[in-house]
Amino acid sequence: MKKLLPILLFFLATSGLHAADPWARAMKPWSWSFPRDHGAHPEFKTEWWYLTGNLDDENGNPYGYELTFFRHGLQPVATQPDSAWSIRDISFAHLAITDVRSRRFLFSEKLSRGALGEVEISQKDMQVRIADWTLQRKTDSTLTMSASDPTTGIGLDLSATPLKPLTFQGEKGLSRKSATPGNASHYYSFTRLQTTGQLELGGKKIPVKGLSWFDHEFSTSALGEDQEGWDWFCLQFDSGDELMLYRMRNPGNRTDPASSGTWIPARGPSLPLKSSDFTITPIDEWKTASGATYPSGWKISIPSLDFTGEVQPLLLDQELQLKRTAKIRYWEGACRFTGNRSGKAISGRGYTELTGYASPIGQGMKE
Amino acid sequence: MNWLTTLRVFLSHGTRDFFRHKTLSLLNLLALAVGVAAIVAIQTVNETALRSFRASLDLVAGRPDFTIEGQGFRLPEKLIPLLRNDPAVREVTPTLSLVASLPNHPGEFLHLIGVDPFSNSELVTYRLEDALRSPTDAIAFVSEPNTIALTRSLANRLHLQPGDSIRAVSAGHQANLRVRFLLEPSPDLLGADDHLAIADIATVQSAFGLFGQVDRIEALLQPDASGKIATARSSLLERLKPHLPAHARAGSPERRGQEVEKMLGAFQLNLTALSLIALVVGMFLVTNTVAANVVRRRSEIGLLRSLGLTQNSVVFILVAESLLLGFLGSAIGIILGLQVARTLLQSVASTVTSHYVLLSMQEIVVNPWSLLAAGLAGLLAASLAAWWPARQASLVSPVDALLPGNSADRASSPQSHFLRASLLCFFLTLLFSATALYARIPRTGFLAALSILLAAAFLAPALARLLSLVPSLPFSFTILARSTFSRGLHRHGLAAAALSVAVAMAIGVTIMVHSFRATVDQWIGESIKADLFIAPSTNLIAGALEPLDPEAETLALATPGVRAVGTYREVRLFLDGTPAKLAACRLEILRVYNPLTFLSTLPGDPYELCQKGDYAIISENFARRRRLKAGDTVSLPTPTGTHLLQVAAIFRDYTSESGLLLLDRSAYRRLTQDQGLTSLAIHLEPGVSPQTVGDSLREQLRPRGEFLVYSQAGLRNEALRIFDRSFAVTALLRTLAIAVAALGVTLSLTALGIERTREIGILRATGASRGQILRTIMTESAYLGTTGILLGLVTGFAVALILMQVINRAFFGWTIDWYTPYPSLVGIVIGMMVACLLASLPPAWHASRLSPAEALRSE
Amino acid sequence: MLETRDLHKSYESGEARVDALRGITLKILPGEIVAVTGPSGCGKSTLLHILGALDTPTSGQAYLEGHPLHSLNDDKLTALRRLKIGFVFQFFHLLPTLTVEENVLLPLLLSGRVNASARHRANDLLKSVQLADRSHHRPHQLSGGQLQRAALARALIHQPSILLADEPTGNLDSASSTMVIDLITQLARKEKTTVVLVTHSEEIARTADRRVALVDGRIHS
Repeated sequence: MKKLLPILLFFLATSGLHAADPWARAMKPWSWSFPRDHGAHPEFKTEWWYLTGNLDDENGNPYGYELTFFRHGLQPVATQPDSAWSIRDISFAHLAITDVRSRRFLFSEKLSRGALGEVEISQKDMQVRIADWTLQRKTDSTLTMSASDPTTGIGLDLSATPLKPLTFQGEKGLSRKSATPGNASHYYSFTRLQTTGQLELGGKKIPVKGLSWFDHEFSTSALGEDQEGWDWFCLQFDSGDELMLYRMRNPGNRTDPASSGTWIPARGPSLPLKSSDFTITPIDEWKTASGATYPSGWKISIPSLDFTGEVQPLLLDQELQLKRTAKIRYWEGACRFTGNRSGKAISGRGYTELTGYASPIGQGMKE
Repeated sequence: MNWLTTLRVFLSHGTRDFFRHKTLSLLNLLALAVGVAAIVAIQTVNETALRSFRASLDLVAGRPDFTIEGQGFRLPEKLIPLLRNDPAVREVTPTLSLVASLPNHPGEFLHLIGVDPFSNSELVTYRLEDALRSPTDAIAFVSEPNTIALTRSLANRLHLQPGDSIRAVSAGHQANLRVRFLLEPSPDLLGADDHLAIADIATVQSAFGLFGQVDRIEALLQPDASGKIATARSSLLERLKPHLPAHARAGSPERRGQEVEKMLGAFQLNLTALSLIALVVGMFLVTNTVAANVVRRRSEIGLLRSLGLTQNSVVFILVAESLLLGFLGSAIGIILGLQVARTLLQSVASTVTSHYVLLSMQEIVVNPWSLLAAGLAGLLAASLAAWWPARQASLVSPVDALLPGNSADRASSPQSHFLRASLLCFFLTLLFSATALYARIPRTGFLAALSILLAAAFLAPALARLLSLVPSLPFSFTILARSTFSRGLHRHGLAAAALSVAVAMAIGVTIMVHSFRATVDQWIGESIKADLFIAPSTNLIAGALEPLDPEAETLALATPGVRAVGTYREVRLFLDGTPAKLAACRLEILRVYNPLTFLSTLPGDPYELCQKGDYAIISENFARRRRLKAGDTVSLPTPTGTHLLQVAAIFRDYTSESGLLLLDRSAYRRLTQDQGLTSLAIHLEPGVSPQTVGDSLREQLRPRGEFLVYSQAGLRNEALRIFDRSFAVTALLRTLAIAVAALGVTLSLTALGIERTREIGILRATGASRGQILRTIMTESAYLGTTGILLGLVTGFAVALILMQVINRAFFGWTIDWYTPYPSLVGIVIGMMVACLLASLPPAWHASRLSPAEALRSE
Repeated sequence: MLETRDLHKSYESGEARVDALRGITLKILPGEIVAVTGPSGCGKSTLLHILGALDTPTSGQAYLEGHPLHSLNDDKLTALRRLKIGFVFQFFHLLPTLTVEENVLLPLLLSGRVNASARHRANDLLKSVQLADRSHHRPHQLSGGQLQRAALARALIHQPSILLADEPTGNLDSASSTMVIDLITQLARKEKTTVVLVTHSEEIARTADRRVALVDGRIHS
């Protein structure tokens, strides 16, 4: 195992914030303006552009992918500004591909201080690049992304076209993570993107198509002091509806009241969900080789929507074990859903994210 | 008789014999031990040097697949995106290093290395995480200005705690570095220089004004389709070539290691060869003892043979006995050698630093394999040395062996064989000298030296015979000694040969070092004319690496009493794969105040040529090694491209082992864009006291960092000090050779004493007094000494000639004028003679004290 | 001439104590040829070494021409050996590095008396032991009988008053033995040298004027 400088961060760093906090906080709903708000918001400490999706090849074999770009501010103003190596933000990206049929889960990461043009993140539109990993919004609103890692032999080259307008999560995009004001993020999603392109696995290029989900979220302090992590779900139903749910976990696996979700119907306005509106019950669990235990399979019920069903992972092991961005582990995996809504069968696919089970989460997300 | 029985015989006889003749055995042991110790010491020091160098390199740069380095000058960081965007490159990381002096800690320095912890995680071997315990620390490392990590040992030495600040100065830039982290001792740091300090590259660039610059760029590559790195590397190199500055050297990192090894190679080979000679002398001694042993134990061997021991078993037993000795000797030698290595470490580190690369070593690195190798060399020497006499012993028929009287006295040594061998060795000397000089195989120069030593060794019996033809003084003991000596050459020949080898070594090295030193001293007297010299203090301890504060020149010029200021800039680089120094001077100052001694020039004034165009002046050894003459061209890669320089003149210079390429400052600055200075030479108005100006300059410079201000005499002393330090190891080996030789004489005579106990009994019975016995044996020793010393003296001159005219020329290309150090030679001759006589004293005394009746009874 | 009184000699050999001589009282007259006989280990050689000033007794007295051998220091004993004593050994004991002539001259060399007349005498002696043609040979070129004859010449070169011979024929064939013994008696008589001859040969003992038999360190009468 190679040694590394345990830079941080995203999950580990304390920001040492004080009264005179130089970073902006998500206190009230953002006044959104696009395409500018697709770009970076460096006044906030943490920001990410998050893509997940379920794709099929020509033979109908299912695949999952995750491509995420992170920006994390170390200091509001770079010291040593005359050096090309001076740091304000660090940037990193995670790429993961799930090959359901051959039961393979592969991942890779990038980390950069952004020196000498290694990182470019526009503040005008969604133009994100870390080394040769890119995410760009074209003028026709299509998102194109490209990333590859010859070492693990994975890569992707996809374009994703929104089939629905963007959805603001929480209260006009202000997504609260705990009861404390300011422990929140600005958060919007494209919940259904028609996706085509190719995945690369073991050096082989596989043409694929399917659906993606996109999140853009920025915050300075998104977790409460004692929160342990979160379980996050995004589901895309064959019916054309989507559901996003997250459960912030307080000590003792209690659900934080700030947990919430959004129901995005096939047509019409989306419906915010409060924590009291839904229950998420783990069905099973999965133990990693290193001894951590993740829940695996959930029963979800939203009585107000007359909605029940089960989320099952397409593969048990979809845990990212990152080395470069500190020794971080989280589970981010493709899932399928079967259930009932208003007495009718409903099914779909989606992604689940589980944090704080195998490595401590969070201080960068907390105050 | 099977081997097991042989072994039992060996165990009961051999070991007993060992203990029966304790003195003899101990002397033998010591002889071997000294030989092995010499090897161990030299090898260990060499390895520590290499290891230390590599460790410092690896620690920050790891083991990349691809490296780009600036030759003499730094690289632009803009090269990095070029690599980063190449599909063959998996990871790219830069390093930026410098040596900074610490004005508050005179004599100490930092070898500060700027790294990028974001990109080097797969490359570095140090563990900053040991030092950085929390994420806050990690952020501080990359974002807080002037934050550095220091080795714990240096921090302890400087009494620094985390959080303390330390003032560091380099090239006129001062920085208050904050020690926030300590690098803990770990296996990775083993052997690395503890002056190492690590900081974020942004920190180093900002603190010392090195924006946009890096020293090295390391990359990890993506193997090509067939999984090979080499092809990926060569194709990457092809793609990069058009974009690389001329002075950049790119390629496999092994090359770097090889170059360092090559650079240190001459130095190390030198030492290794000398240490091997020590072992050879030791081997002579062991052969000598085993031979004596065999003679002494003839009847015992005869008895064993008549009882059915085979010839092979006899050889086995005798060789095994010697091996036992070799084993103990090697063990002692290894311990001794490590101890010697420890004492040599600092002088070797300083030598390497002043001649080659910055090297600092705190503790020896023990490589078990080289210890094993040295031990095996000792064993091999012991068994080889024993083999021949053992073989001789096994050939004696049991009947003869049991007969009283000394059959060895009957066997006359094949004199003509020795003479022929000697002649052959002499021809080999000529041959190897020729190959070293003309076929350009420098290493054969050492074979030439070895051959001439062997030639002398083979000549020893003949010389001894010749010597015994000289009528002796009409004393009973001299007459007796002469006849026993001349007719006992089978016993004395080897000792005389060993002695001559040791004396030749000592004399040869003494003449060479003396001549070299006298030549350098002479040259310094002629070529150093300035009154004062200023250099950054780090250059003394860390070699001429860091530039001087540019303000120093202005300050010096403004100081009253100063008439002219000469500047000197020096960088080390590789030209065509071999190391060289590039230097720049203000030639207009030099020509007036300090003209060079030209050996040859182009028509016209070489100073003017250099000031006007692309001309260079090269040193004699530079010219010789590269076979250049005035008018030839040298291609010089610099950050502005490769420039062809015409050689305007060749001058004598002893400042650089690798050769010097001297430019005028204006040309240098134009070609390299380097504005730095390494040192200043200050010429004063007539009548102005250098002391006063020196003090004034010191005072003015004090706030700007740590500087050395030398007077002319001071510089000369410093130069000679460096010279002497460079030859400290050589001097030690010379002492070793003399010690081994004296030991050999004692050994030889002790063996002889034991062997001749009965003869002494006869002499005593025939009326010889104790005093006569004592004098006879000491006179014999004098004969032995005279033979060895005489031969060694003559051979020593030949060795000196080979060292100066073959080895030096082949490796270094200096001109060394011959200066014979008569007092030292007389000293060595007298000293060796006294050593021989003193060495003979214990065995002679012992013999004279023998009871005649008991001596007669001995058989 | 030679006289011993209650001569004792013992050796420490590790733990054991060996009594080689246990009270020898003996008187030998000038010019007398005495054979000392006895079995191996009876003390013959020890007695001879003491009489020859090579060894000193543990107790008792020994006198050579009135010199008390038992109380003289090494220098005095050496001087006595040099002037008055000649030795012939069983194993010849010629110095291998010297020629026959040099070996013969050795006693004179050691006392610094080598001159023309000494050389002359050496030649005469070598002639009389029939080795004139071998004088420049080295010992290893000679046969056993020749070696012993050379040794005899050496023992007599300095005209010692006493010749001590320790089993002089012990390593010779019978022809050589006879020759050596004949020469000893012949030369001793001619030079009027006292001879003490240690032998275990009855035949040789018979040629002596007198014989002393030793058994277990005592004289057997």
